[in-house]
Amino acid sequence: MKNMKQWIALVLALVLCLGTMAACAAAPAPTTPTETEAPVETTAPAETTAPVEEEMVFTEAPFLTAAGTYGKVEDRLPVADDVMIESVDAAGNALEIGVYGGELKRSAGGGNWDAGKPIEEGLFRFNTSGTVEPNVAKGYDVSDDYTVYTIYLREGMKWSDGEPFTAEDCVWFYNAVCLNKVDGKGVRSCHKDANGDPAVVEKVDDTTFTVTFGTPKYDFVEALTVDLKWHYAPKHVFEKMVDLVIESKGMEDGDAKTAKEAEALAAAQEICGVEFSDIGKAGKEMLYYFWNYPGIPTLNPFVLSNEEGKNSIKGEYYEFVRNPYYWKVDAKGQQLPYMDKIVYTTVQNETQTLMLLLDGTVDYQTIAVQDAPTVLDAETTSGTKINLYQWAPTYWGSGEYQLHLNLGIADEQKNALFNNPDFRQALSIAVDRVEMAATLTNNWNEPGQAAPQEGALGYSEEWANQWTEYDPAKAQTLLESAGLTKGSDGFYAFADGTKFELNIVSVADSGAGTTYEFLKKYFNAVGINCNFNDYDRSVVDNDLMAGSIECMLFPVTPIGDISIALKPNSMIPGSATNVAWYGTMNEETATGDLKTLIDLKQKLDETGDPDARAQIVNDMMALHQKNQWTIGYIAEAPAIHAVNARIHNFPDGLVWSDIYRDMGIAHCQCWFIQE
Amino acid sequence: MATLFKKKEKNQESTYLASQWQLMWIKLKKHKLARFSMAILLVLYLGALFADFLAPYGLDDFSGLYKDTAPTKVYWRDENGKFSRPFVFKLQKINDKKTFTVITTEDYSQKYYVKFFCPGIEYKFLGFIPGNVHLYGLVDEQGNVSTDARINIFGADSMGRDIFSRLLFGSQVSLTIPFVSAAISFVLGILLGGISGYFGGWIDNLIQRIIEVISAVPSIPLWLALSAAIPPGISVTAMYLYITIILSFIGWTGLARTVRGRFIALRKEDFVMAARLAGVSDFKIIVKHLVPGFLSYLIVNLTLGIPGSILGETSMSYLGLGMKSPATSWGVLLKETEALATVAQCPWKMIPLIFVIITVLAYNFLGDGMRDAADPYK
Amino acid sequence: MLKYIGKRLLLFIPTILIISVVIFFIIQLPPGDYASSYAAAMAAEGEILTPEQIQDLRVQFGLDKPWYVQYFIWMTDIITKGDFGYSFEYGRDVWAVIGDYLPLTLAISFIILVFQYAVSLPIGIYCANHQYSVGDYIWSFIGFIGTATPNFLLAIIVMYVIYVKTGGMYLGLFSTEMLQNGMRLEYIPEFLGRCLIPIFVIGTSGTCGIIRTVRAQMLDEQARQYTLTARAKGCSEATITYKYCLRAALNPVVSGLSGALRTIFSGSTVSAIVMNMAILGPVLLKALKSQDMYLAGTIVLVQAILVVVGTLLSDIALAWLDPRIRFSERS
Repeated sequence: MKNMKQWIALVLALVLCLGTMAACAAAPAPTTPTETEAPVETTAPAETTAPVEEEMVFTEAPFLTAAGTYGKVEDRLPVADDVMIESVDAAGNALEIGVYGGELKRSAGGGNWDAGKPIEEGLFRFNTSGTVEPNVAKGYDVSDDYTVYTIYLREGMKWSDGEPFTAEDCVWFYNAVCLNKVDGKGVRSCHKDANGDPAVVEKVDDTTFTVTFGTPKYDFVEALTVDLKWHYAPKHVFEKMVDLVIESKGMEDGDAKTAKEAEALAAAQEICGVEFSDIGKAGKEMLYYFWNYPGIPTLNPFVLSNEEGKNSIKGEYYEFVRNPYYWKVDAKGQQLPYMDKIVYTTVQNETQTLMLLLDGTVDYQTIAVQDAPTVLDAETTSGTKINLYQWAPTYWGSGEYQLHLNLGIADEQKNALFNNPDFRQALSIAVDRVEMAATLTNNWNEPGQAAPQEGALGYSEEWANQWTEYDPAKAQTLLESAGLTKGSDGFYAFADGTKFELNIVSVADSGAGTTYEFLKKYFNAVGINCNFNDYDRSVVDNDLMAGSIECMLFPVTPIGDISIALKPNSMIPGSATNVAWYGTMNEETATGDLKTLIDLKQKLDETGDPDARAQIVNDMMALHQKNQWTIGYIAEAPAIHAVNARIHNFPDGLVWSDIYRDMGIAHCQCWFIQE
Repeated sequence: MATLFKKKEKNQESTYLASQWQLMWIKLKKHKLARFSMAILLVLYLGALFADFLAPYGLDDFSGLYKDTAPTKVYWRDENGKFSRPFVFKLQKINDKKTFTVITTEDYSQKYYVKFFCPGIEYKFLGFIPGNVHLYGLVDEQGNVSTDARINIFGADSMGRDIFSRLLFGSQVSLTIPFVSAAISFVLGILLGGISGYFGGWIDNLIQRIIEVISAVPSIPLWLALSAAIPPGISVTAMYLYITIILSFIGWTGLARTVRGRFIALRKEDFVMAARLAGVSDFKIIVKHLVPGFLSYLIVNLTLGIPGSILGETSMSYLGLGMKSPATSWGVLLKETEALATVAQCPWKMIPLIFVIITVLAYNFLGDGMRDAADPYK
Repeated sequence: MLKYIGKRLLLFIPTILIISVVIFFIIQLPPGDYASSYAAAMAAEGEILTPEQIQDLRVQFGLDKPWYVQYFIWMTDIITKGDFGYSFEYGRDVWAVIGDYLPLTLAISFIILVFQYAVSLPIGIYCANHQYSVGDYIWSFIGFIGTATPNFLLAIIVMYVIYVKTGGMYLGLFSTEMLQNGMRLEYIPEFLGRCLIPIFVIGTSGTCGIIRTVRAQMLDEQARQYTLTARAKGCSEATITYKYCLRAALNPVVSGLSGALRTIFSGSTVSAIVMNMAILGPVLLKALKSQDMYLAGTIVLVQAILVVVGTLLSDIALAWLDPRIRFSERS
């Protein structure tokens, strides 16, 4: 299986990833930016910013030539040595040299990230081997004690409005926007040291800035790429507005403050033409979701149109137009992106995107496996040839079939029961997984456990098959050993006679209802009484944050991700607010192995030695394997992308993950259209 | 033809002696389509009543093997071309990873015979008579009841359940909820509309304003709010009751307005005055003298109300506000067919749609017939 | 007559106020508020808000106050400033949002309404004049079939069948080119083609009721004494049918128009979602689900006012058509 290969690469790379930083640290402190690239490059096979051996001739799209107002292409690109060359995809496979022109047709559901993730440009980016590689920044180096990071930018790089992009934009973003929480987000955890204090960000020169921590920060670059992604905002556009916002924030309530706020809102409207209701909203929308508003320059390959009727992501139609100052070229020196536009039409739901995909009105969509035959039939029905690409998933088992027991539940009897591994094992082996995989997924997914998938970090065959046998008799023995006794009605009750009922909750329309119907049959067969309710997601989230959900099926945040070290949210108690199995548990309320897990994470943050770090990660995974805190029933299937055959350079066999920015890792600037 | 009325009753003596309802019945029988519709509805309601016996499988008889499979092919001739007891073959499935299709073929190694009055899952008919005999089922060549092979005459759903069985169990809900809710609306409508129109004055004003407020609020926010008001974790029966009440709560206002209008028009008629002078009670005047005067219109309303409620139930299910599986109603079955994959790949899952259409049409034609029959001028 | 109208008008304002309270109450009744549904929408995209951030949003939107306080503020602004508030979701004034969708909504709904009456009046009259004939059955059947099929399924089936036959997926009223380049003359045939599916699907859903009422009323009227008299005096069948019976038969049809006014304003909801039509129905449903209070409240309130006005108009029309109502109201 092709995906598996990717996965193997991922394991190796993640182990390597921990070593990368050591390599960086071991390298002598470089004196010039070009030299600093060496250590990063060795582990970043995908992209190169290496000095061009022969003089590369840069060319531009006819779209820009026709416009005639942009001047020469080499004047718009960074200096020749700093131009980024995209010659391979995120998995390291060579890209075709493309042709210019055409529009990528997409559908949108009005979400904030619909258009953002595919075109996002962070300072650094991941490739599928889990390694961070240079992107907007061309490199970095770190002091021996891991307290000072020096980031190097590309010389001559420009914003999409033609203004120069410099270290000032990065430093100002942190000092003015983040420290004052103007973007509604504030200082991200990647910028906080072990004591929770914010880092100090200073400009060295136009292409260099430093990030200084009070205590060693071993994973700043990875954390930055996960947490913040970008680290910049166009100061020349926002300075006036942000200053006004900061001033107003410092004022006492009253007319003067209201007037200042109104002034800030007027400044905001001047930038993007949108009238915001208050400065909080304006700041978040324009500085956090900046790509969604016209008139805000970005570094992205495509920028939202300025034209009336095409410039609102809440509208029925909007388009993103190529950035004439984009700073990447292909191997032949053609300025990217190849396509002129990405155009969006609004739909009500995913079924409609699928329908539009069939007649070629939409170019790509992630689809469910049962829709694949219909998509493949489109070639004969409407003449639309659609290719399917499979990307590896990252959850531990399919999120749709995970059962999360709230281990911090207030009810003492249930708390003791849920924290008893025998009970969890009983729930796990009471269900016939083979029949479940056939009934619910038509055998497209394999039976499995909530454990890392084959090829992923921490995979072991033993774990993947732990408690997966179907053994109702043993399940009953385990339930009895967990202190339950069977009543006359055939259902188990607590020893003191209190009835036991498992109250399962899920999100409405998530498909969990079907899974529950199946589970109920098996749970009832062994004597576990259960019921099920599904609510709107907003209510579920609310209950999760209050810790009042007892047991969750199809959890809003399934367990598992690329790596427990990079994104521990779903795997370590207290890391996020919407994970059902640990609920509101944190380092104070956790006990036993759960507390140990939290302590290990703390230790990881304080450890620099790569071997020691790897050991800690292994220990954390071992705890998960031993306790099996969440129960999975079915393994995750690959994500299937249906892509119109006219789109070329769509990468196959990547990994689908939010850390990798979902479709962002497909690098749409490299796609081109050939009918 | 120089007839003054389009049609003339050829009256016999008996007609003169018949009661009002007998007259209606005589006339109803003349409306062929109404008679036919009544027969269809009778069959459907009998199906709902005897669902336990008629349905070969239960609501949790899932099957991975039969997931998304087409109606089972029943053979009447054996391999030599001779007539035989009807039999079927078990299915086998292969996943084609290249085209993402599941290829389903028949396994010819063993025949499974259709047996009538075959034992199967246990049930309690009408809630108290235990039984396990089903109209039909499969037995293998040795005569044992088959556990793995299935006969799904309408195909199987996405969890391998028999659609025919689900349709029958669903009809228990879908054919009765609208009936009950239409009846509630009907009673509420006549009562409140009648009071309003007959008494007039401040009662009339109050009721009219209440009607105005209720009917002014569009049904979708009402559905959302009322569904949200249904407490979580309730049983299927309670859910059933709530939905009934929601539907009838929304439905009665139009009828009440019409009834009121008719009352206002009729209450000054001489015959009402005569009845009142004769000392007939208000209630009796309403029920005996006024209501029959416009019964035909009410019946049109009632029969239109029932299919309206059937469709209302499906719309609520579509919006995720109605019944939810494992409780089964026609709305739940239709909700499961909305995906494009169903329309494109599993058209048999739309068979329940045919039953919805048939039921709605039958009610409409029956109403048509009843309207004509209740018409006092013919 | 004037007194009757005056009395009804006097009751109009308090009725509307009561309705607005009921509406506001109903909209906020489902659990959660806009802040929580916004957080949920963010979470679905992978961005998690902390409870503090959600509380901040709540304060920012004024959702931390009890619903009746929110209602009072909203109503006061409407009455004193004519300000209906702004939509949280769109970040704009509610009328600006409604204004974007209203022209198309009105146009489509009006076309559909005309279609419904144009189809069902002739069928109703034909069926009444040819009671129990084969034509009666066939036409009734055609008129009813649209009502009998749940719209959301009918829409998807019709679109899929057209896709299989032509290879084109006619979803929505506008193609990408139309949205991109604006309406041009050469797009008009395709636009009209795209309109046919919604007109068919939504239009046929309402025909049954009208056919049924017209047919029933016509039959009633044809049996009345005045029909007999007219026929006895030698009036032509056409005169009897169209001049006398039809006029009387239209009475309940006119009553039905008040409901139609509401439908015109928001258009159909479920079908519009399935067919991806940019009209107010789906906007309303989305606003209701995310508890975008002022947007949902305004749309529903306008609909409610239209219904009340419609009822008023139809009552007045009825009083004019049927003197008995008028006289009884007077006494």
